[in-house]
Amino acid sequence: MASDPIPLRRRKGFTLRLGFVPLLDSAPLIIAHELGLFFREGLDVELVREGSWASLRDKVSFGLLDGAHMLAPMPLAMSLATDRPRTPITTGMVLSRNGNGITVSTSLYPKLMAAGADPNDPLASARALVDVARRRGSPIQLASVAPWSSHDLQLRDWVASAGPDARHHIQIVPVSPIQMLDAFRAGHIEGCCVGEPWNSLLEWQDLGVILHAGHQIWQNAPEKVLGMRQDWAEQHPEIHRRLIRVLLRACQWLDDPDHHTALRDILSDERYLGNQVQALDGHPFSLFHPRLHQHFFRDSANFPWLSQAHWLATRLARWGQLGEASATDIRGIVKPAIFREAASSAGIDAPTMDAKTEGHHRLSHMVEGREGPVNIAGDGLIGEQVHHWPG
Amino acid sequence: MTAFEPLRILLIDNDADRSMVVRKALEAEGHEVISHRPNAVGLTAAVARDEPDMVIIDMDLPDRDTLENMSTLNAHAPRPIVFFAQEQSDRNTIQAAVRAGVSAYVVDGVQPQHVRGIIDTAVARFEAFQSLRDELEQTRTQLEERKLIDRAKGLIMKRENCDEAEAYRVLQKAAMDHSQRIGQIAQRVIEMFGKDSDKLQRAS
Repeated sequence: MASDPIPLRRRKGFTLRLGFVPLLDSAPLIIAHELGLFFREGLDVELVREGSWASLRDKVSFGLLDGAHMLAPMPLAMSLATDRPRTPITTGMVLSRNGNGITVSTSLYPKLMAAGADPNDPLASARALVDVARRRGSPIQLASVAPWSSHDLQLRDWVASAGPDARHHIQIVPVSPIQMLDAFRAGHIEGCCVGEPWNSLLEWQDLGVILHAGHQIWQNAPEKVLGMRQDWAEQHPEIHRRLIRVLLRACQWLDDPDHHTALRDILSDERYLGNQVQALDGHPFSLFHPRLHQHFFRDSANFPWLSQAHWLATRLARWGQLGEASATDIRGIVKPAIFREAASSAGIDAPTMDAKTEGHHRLSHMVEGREGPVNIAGDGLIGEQVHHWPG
Repeated sequence: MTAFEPLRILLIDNDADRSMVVRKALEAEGHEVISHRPNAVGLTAAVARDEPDMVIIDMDLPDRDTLENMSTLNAHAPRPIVFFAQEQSDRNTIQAAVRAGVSAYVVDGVQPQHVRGIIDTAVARFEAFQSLRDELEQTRTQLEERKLIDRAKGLIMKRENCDEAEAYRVLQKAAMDHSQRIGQIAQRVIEMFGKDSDKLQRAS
């Protein structure tokens, strides 16, 4: 028989409302819901789909959501803003790493290649971009999808790597992901930095070519995180740990390629990503573009490094989206200790240190865990930068 | 009392009916309203061209991130109303707006008391539309459930060899036992027995 038996009595669970924006990396929440993992932990979770990050932020701020799938810089921007009311956020888990692409139009791509762009060298490509704009005498417009996002910050860091002259030749304009295909088609923009499935869709419709992965700008950077209202997290420590435990299981499930057909079926439901996924029918890579290195679990992907959050804060400050953030500020928001407890109760080991020097390791390597050595991913930063944790 | 200042308002909504109602209400209060339907390239251009004092936008539209982005890129672009929620009275107004799905952006220098009045007007119209939509949705669900119940009754009658009244009592009892709506139980019955009976019919 296809369907489950009707439960005799509805189990009384703990109700919470979590928001998500329909992108490929909202999958951990969706999968936890669809596989019944929340239910098994006694959590009654209502998933609320939001059309924009702004809407998700406002609903968390005004208590209509307890927490959400957030852009990694969002908990920092919401907690530390100085130009508006703050909503303190607690984040104890990274939901995904990588997955952004810098995609340029099919007409710009050959020009960049002729000018010395190299898909293996983002610095060379940035110089080529500025060269092409300078020679033709008109600026190149590139799209950013949202402020306080890794897309926006990676795009800015990449363009800036070409030198101070770059800002005269490259304009960054706002376009939302859902309108990206139309904006490419209209020739309104010639490139963008966006999350999946939008890069794959641009390629699949012959509108664009992925020039670089976000991975080449900041290697294995946290992309989306679980962000809860701080007051909620303080009042419900046990529920919070359970929530992280469930999402870890979902992330582990997601990293197994054997599950990707099932994942695709689930995400193509109208309540989730719907026709974004359906539009990829026949695409050779199905859901996960091999160039983008998107992952959810392996190499301690879910560990919330204080040093990575601080790196993000410095990028927000660099681009005028936040003031300077101290080590104490970061410790008030990012909670590796909560993650360790939750992971340990699920039998998953985690690093014992809270922070590291970012940019030192191009390859995955071992660090000390509570039970023994644990693997963590490489953390290179564009232009061989090194970022020291100030704490 | 402060003198009334008419504002230039850019209204962005995919729902043409709702947009017209909101527009009329705001125009009746003396404001100038420009309606705009969201699309890929029009929003930034519209804000630059029309120089609105205020933007009112359906909260669910992805264009909101574009507006947020504009406000970080350009100091003169309208800023999100939630950024002004310092005082409790403003917080209440804005919370009502968030609940109703109304989002607003204002340029610096616009008087808060004007903004509050405009938001209240938009929120009232959005709420009226929502309750109308809820009513329609309820009617639709009721119709669908009646169809499901009829099908489920048929399946039970065939399987249990009973009459319609008895089949209905079975559904009613299951609904009470599981504290679910009778329509939900009917759906389950169809999922469980529907396929079997299709197979049986094909086999016979």
